[in-house]
Amino acid sequence: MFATIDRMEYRPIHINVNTNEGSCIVNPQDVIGNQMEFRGVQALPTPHKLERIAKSIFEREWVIDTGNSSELHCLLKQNEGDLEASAQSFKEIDEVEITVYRFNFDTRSDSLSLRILREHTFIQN
Amino acid sequence: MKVVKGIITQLEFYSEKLVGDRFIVLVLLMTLILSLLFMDHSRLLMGILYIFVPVAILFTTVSKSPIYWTVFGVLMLIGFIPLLATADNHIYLTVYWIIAVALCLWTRDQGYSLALNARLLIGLCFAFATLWKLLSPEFLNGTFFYFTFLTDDRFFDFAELAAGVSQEARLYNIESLETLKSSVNRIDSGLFVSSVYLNNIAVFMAYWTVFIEGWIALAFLAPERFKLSKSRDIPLLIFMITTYPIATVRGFATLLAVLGFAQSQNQNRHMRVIYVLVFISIPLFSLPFERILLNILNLF
Repeated sequence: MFATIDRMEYRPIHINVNTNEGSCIVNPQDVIGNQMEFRGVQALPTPHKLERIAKSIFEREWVIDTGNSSELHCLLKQNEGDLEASAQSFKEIDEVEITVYRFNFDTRSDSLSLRILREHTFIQN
Repeated sequence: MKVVKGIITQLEFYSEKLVGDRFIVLVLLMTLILSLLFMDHSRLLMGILYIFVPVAILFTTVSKSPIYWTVFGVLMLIGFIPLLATADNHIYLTVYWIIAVALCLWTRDQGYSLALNARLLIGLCFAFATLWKLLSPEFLNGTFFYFTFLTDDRFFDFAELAAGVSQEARLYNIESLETLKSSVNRIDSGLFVSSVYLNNIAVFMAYWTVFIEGWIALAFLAPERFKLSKSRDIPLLIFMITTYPIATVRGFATLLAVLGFAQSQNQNRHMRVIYVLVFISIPLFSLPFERILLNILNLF
């Protein structure tokens, strides 16, 4: 710390789920129980921790939000009645891709970009 | 000249009072206050601190007990384990210090042991900090400070004062940062708004930091017979006074004041009052000095 721009909170975790109905984005906060656990994954994204996240995604039921956003988001399936009109059910998850990034800053162009720190793809057994 | 002499006489007068048992009691009291104020990072730690610390602050017989400190140290260690991956670096150092205190109180010369351990902890901490910075190209080429001035709210006023980074630029940069930080966005790059002076300031700050931290490491780790070791309080106090009013990490500043005071047992006794004064004044470090200066400059 205090030597590189790489900090825990500057490590976004991108989760993409590939289903029979297409791909969608999962908010990691939906699957990682609490803030401390979330910070733990950011600090030390071990394959074991990422596998636990993937397992948790495979075990739950999701729907794709086909709403206004240009990107499709996966929502946790609640009660049938609670589903929004824009939500679309899917049968099964084929793959879960989890990528943890760190920041990379270029002072010449003043641009901040993401650099892959850890990347794993988990396939449904 | 008379004023300076008067201050030195006063420092020496009070320093002579802080010897022997009084010195040890004050080290323990400062450590307890430090723990209570800056170690409540989880419910478990809060529980331990709120039950254990007030009793020891109120009763000197408790705070001087090696058994008390051993139990307190073990409990703090247990409470700290779940935070291993996420805790700030000064939390680690505080836990090390609490354990060191517990061990020192079992020794025959407690004052000497506390001083030796405090000196080594400061020396090793700054040695590793310097090494880490020297091994980080991002630090040495100024990128770390450049990025920090643009994105860390503790440095915004300094960046405005020293390099003229405007408030509009600051808001724009925060938005870019938040977009990239988000785990649900899929944008993978963003532009920042800076100032032409910022790069030079960032590079200067990087080299200054390596210089001052390296000086502290060498001065505190050098054996007592070396000249460098005799003046070790100077770089530490320069570091504290120049760093913490800008980067307001009060927990670390307080810990360094405690360790600085504790290591002053063996030499430079007149410095110990200065460490106590720094310890007491640390809440003042939170004052927005740069903002005050900016407001004054804006008047003209």
